[in-house]
Amino acid sequence: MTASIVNCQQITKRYGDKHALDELNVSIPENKIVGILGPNGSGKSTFFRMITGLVKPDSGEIEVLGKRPGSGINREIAYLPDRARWYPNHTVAGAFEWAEKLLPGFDIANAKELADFMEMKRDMRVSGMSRGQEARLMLILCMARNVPLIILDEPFSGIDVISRERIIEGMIDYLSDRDQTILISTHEIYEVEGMFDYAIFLNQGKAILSGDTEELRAQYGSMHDIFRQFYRYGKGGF
Amino acid sequence: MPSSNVFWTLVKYELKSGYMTRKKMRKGKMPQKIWLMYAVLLFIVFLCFTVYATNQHWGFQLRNVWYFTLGLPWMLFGYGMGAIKNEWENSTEGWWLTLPYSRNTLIGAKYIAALLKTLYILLVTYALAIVYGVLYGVCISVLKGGFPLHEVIFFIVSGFWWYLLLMGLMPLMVSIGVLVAVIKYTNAKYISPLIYFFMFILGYGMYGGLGVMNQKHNLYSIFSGETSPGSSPFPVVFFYFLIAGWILAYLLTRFSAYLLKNKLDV
Repeated sequence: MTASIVNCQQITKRYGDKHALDELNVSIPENKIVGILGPNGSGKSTFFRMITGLVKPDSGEIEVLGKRPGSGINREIAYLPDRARWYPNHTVAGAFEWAEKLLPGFDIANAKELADFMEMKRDMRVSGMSRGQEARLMLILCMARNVPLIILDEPFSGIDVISRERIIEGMIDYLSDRDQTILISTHEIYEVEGMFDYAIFLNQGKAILSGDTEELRAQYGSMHDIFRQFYRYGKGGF
Repeated sequence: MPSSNVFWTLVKYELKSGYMTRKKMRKGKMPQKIWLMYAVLLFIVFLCFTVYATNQHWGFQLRNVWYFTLGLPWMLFGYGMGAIKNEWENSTEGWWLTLPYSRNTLIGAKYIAALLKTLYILLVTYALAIVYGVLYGVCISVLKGGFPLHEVIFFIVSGFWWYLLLMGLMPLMVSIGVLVAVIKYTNAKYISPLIYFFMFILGYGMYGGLGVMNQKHNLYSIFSGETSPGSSPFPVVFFYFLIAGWILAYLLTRFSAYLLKNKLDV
């Protein structure tokens, strides 16, 4: 049986009257690329913030790499936050230097390799970058870390289709032979679903479906089809 | 990396950032030469005004110039606030808050960097004030003959007491700025009015209380020239308040870290 890297039991998080997570039970297997899928407001970002210790659950238990979330365990996690930007006064080289000094496990040689692949010049200043270029830089800063868990919250937002395809191709190449668990939330399911080994579908703060993508495909069709069918017709399920 | 190295690395990056936000960078940074030109021009205009005003028997004296710096404590507060606010304004708060270091380390580094920045600004402005006083003396000696040594020394010494007070208040003002900014991003927003009330009391304590404590010998009587700045314008009890303020600054900074750890609203 595969070991779990993240375990949630009956996690609830409310913002006012709204349940961001509602008695969520999830177990994420390690060393897999996992798609965390769901429409806006389904709880994906809150779930990620909880894994990194940014928010605490109102009730329930969460374990990440066998420990409670917090700054200590963040040494083992590379996290690309939703709607994040990078420091505008940095250059690409400056951002790598920052990461090398402050992010444990950051491998500058890997970062340079990824930057070349993604056509990022070292002297580019963030304040002069397009949103897509900035998104690539942030992706590199996460992917170049030798840590057991990588969390990418909407990593492709703001990146044009052509660049996106190139980045995804690079990610598949780069991540395929690494012993890391990668959690990705995205709306671009159609383009990235080939990457996923495992998928978790969230709706209104609950996990409504999860499993190995091969098995899910055999049962329901592509991830994209599952997404469209399920969320188009509401909470009816399968 | 050892934790002390991480701390000073964070401080270094904070100092390098210069509180530059994306918005400010988009507006475009004024070239340094133009900025310097404006500063020199303003300096000369203000110097001319002082020389002119002191010669017109309006009752204006060189030492009165210090009244124009009464807003400096609020600058200290602003620096503390800006250190935190910029993370949110740049949308980098997610990166900052998930760094694998304790909230005390993260907040402490920002706090120390803000202190160093404000200390630098205070030292530079005081050095400029000395230059200003000397140039004033030179202008007067050209116009009237004879360098007004007593007046210039009076100006420099009274400024020294004022800046000493600012440096003493700096830890507390910066920590309040940090706390006010942190509160905005936590579930503890409801205590904001209390903090502003505390600020009001502190402001009154500083601007009003200094005069009340010793009506014959205080900072304002020195600025106005009623008394000589030869000895400390602060009563001994004021130094106890200052030390209490530093302890409070430490506690407020720890409290900011606690709020970011346990009450973050993201």
